[in-house]
Amino acid sequence: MIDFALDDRMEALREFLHGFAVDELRPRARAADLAGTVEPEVIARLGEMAGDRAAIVPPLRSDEGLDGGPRSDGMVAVVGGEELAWGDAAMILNIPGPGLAGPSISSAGTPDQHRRFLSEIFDGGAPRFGALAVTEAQAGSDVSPPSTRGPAERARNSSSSSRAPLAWWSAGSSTSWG
Amino acid sequence: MVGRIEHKLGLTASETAELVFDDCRIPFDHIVGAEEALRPASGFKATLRAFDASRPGVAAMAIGIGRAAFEYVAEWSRAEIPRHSRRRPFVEARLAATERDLAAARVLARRAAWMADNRIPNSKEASMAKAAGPRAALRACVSALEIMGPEGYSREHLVEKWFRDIKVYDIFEGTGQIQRVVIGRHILGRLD
Repeated sequence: MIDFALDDRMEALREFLHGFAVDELRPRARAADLAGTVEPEVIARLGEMAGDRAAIVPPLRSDEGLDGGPRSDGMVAVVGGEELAWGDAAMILNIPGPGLAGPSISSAGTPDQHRRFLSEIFDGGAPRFGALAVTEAQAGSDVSPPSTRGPAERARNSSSSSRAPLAWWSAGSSTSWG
Repeated sequence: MVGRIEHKLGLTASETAELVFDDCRIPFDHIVGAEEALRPASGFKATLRAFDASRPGVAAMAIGIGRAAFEYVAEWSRAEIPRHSRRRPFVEARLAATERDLAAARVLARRAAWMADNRIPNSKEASMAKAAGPRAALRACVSALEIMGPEGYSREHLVEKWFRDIKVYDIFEGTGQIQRVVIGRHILGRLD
């Protein structure tokens, strides 16, 4: 039999996030839309809710989830994403954390990069934000033809890139580089 | 460096900006994947793998917006459209189609996520979710706006904001057109 019901843990998560959306997001949606920004104290509260680890994806090389149970990060993203976007889709893009950079680093990064760029960089201090860019002015959202290149130098300890504008970076102006 | 900050139709509370890399040196250990990343096309393949993980979630966010519009207009209709109004059957039909479409899109998104959690390749299913969710949500927002008439167009209600927010979900993280290309290539066996 196919069971479409959420398990108890996922249902509890959905209810929690829905409550957060009702109390914190929806009441502020119009003001944030008109202002074009989210108040710093609201960003801080969003960060607290997410542990400043928005969109974090547990290590893909493990068969276990964070609590030792089956992996559930995909379902968490789907269930949680729907509830939070129901509250306000724009405000939740301001939640501190890896953001859209998370899946890329998680899927292709080394274990050291997982530790550094999915966790440590977000420990303490001011809220920090990850961003992902795959778009250029002449390439739209098709990831195959971008012209930005990062040729590896002979010493293999750095790479350099030519000047190239990358357009349409969500959270680009807030991205933390460090 | 941060270039132009875009003024957008929707999602205005989330900034989208141009970034320019000018003679930018990247330490080797900052290249995602390090040694493996230097292989030809590895970045492109890694990006596609990342999309398989992220597209179901983005589809779900679109469904959230669509559900917000649907629930709002349903409540508004109960209050504003009398039971015996000649408009009622039309509104019922639109709302029925909306809920059906959103429910179907939700199943697609959750299926793609379940596959990812169970380490089953889900590229086609992730694209199906991403193709369906934003379109269902866009129809939901359009229906809500049309059912509410002038009120739907007014900033007195959030419906117009959801209408402005939703369109980009059919564009970013891979356009709806790209998703249909991906699905089609899986079907015909041409996906590299």
